[in-house]
Amino acid sequence: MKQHTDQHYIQKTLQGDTNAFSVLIDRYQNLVYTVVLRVVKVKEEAEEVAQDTFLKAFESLSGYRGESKFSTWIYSIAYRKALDQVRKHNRMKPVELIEDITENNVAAIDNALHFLEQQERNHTIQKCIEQLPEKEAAIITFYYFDDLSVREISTITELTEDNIKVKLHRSRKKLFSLLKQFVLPEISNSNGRAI
Amino acid sequence: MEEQFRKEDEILKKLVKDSGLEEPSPGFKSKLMDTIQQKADQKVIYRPLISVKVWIGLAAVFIGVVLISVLFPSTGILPDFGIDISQFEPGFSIPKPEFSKTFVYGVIFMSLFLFQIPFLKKFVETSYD
Repeated sequence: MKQHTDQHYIQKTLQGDTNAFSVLIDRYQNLVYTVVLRVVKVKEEAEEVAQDTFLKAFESLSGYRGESKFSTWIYSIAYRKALDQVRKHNRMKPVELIEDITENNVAAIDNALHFLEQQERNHTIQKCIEQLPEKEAAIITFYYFDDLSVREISTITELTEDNIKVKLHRSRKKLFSLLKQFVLPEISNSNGRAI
Repeated sequence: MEEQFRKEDEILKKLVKDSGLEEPSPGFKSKLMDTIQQKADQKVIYRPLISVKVWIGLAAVFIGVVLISVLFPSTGILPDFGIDISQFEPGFSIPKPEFSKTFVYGVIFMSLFLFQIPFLKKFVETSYD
């Protein structure tokens, strides 16, 4: 079956075919929900914010000029709404945990992860991303999951490209520190000395 | 260092991709579509109270009246069609208002000021965006 572009469904929606919007929901609901959940970190709230995101997108669809991809546009709505939700509940708190990770540590973490079952491995990485600060969790998802460029992430988050690069670097370090605690607890707990 | 950075990047990409996406509850889409349908039904389509045709008609009448009053300042065009308008003339003369220069300047400056308000408002709004 021929797959139409997002623009096709946007035009149909603007012409009054509300059902055309459901295709866009199908395409983006999981990613929007995942980004929102990683920022707000509470399932019920994430679902509500994701609903608001699509509703806002539907209402402002006539204002979408196609200068950026539709996905970038909807992610920027989702990102802003998720941060608003966190601010509303005053939950933003920085997580500052950056251990010095050596090349050997990286290899050991990679090795240990290989011994985990797929499901357990997925659960571990999700837990680690959950512990990242809100903005960094979203940036990591955009960059590593959806393969968005630094420029696209900068458009979504309204942060400078340099700032995005710094945040990506920090989040990588934090994620490895967290992964080390999860998969190599005996090394982490004894300050790097193997037991 | 570069090698470690590349390795970290590679591992994270694989881990994040493999972990997949979270899924909202099964009723997510239908609930959302219900709300969207309600919004779409409530949408009021803007229709101007006075249509374009009426505006064009009004403008034509206005321009016509102005042209007649300029081209036929004293009598108008009705006597040319054999219509005697003397019976409609009022038995009194309409007073001609006289304004002092100060008053006229005042009105001009006031209208300029009022004319500027929308522009200034727009300027301030955009500077805060």
